[in-house]
Amino acid sequence: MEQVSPVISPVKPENGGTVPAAPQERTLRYKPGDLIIKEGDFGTALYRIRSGTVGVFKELHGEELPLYELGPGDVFGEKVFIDGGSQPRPASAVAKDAVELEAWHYLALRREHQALRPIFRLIALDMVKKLAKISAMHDRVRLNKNHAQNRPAEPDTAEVNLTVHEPSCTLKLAGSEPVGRVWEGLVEYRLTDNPASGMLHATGVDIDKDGMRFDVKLANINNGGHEPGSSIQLAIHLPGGVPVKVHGKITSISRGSLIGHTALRVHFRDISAEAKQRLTAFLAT
Amino acid sequence: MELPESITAYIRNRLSFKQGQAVFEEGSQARHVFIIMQGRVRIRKQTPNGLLTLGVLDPGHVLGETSLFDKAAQQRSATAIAETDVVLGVLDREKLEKELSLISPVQQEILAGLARRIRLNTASAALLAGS
Repeated sequence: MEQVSPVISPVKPENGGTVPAAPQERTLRYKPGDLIIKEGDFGTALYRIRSGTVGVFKELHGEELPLYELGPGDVFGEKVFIDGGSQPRPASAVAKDAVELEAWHYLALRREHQALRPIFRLIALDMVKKLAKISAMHDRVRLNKNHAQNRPAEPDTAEVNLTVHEPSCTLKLAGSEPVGRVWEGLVEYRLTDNPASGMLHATGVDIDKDGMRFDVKLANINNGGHEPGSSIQLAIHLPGGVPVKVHGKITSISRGSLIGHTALRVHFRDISAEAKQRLTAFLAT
Repeated sequence: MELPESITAYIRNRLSFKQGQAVFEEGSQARHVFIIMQGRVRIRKQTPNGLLTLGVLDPGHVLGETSLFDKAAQQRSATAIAETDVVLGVLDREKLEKELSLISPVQQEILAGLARRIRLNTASAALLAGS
């Protein structure tokens, strides 16, 4: 049973565009030339094209470098599904003609994802990860090509090795070695060295056996001793039963996936055998 | 690699490949969807300038899944070669297709959209690398 239902803010266009009056309607419309995603911005939505053509491009030395065009049925912005919008958009997207999009907040998408059977959860996550790898490689080939055009031609070689060496992507699959999972749920925490801060609430977004990441609605995180290295006490509301209590240390602080939010990465320390067992069981389901 | 029962329940049979053997070739008819159980599989695509490696996949990854979602594309978009000795699980396609049809249309469309993007970016990268 879903115990926690984080508030999902309605998806707003990242760069203009008109949102229809009905807030439940996740349709966004753009005119030719409208910028849908700006490279480097932070967004929280994945888009699916209902109609029209979307051009994807990167900027290089002030020039637009077209990557590819997408049409009805295609999705883009899918990286939010894995990074929760914590990473800048890798490329820009522009409406080439009148475009109608369906926008999905990544939390809503993850909820849908959680409802899938494990095999489809696995395949969907695998496709998103593969796509991130292929897109990154595609961009590199494109950037190298562009770079090469500005250099004198190299002598012909008998064999052109185009192999792009990539660190192989290890899909973390719950099994013999439960490693991690995309998760969302309530986390309560207290900064050990600052008891005055009291119990704070946050939304857990990813969890693994070593630590977790969560989003807290605090624009000014510098208040109250949120610093890398700070000790933290957590009560993680995993589904079923009492919260799992662990101690940890904040390892990094970054801009949250929602406006006015901050993302904290915590490394677990001093996990009791019982907490470890529950965490392992949760990661393996 | 030990896969959870929720995944192994879909494995119909296992196939072994020796290092260097092709699991499937680009352009061939896509029949099976695999999951890598042991070993590593290199995915590559032919371009006029040579072979472009799209990635090397570890155990736990699926292989050939795009044909499941993207009905318009039933041919392999790249070649899969056993990078080491490999054991693959052949997933029960009929069962997958049946269960897929029960998922909400919106989710089906997003899965299909992801599959299309994989194919599009693969083709686009190869085109670019070969130009």
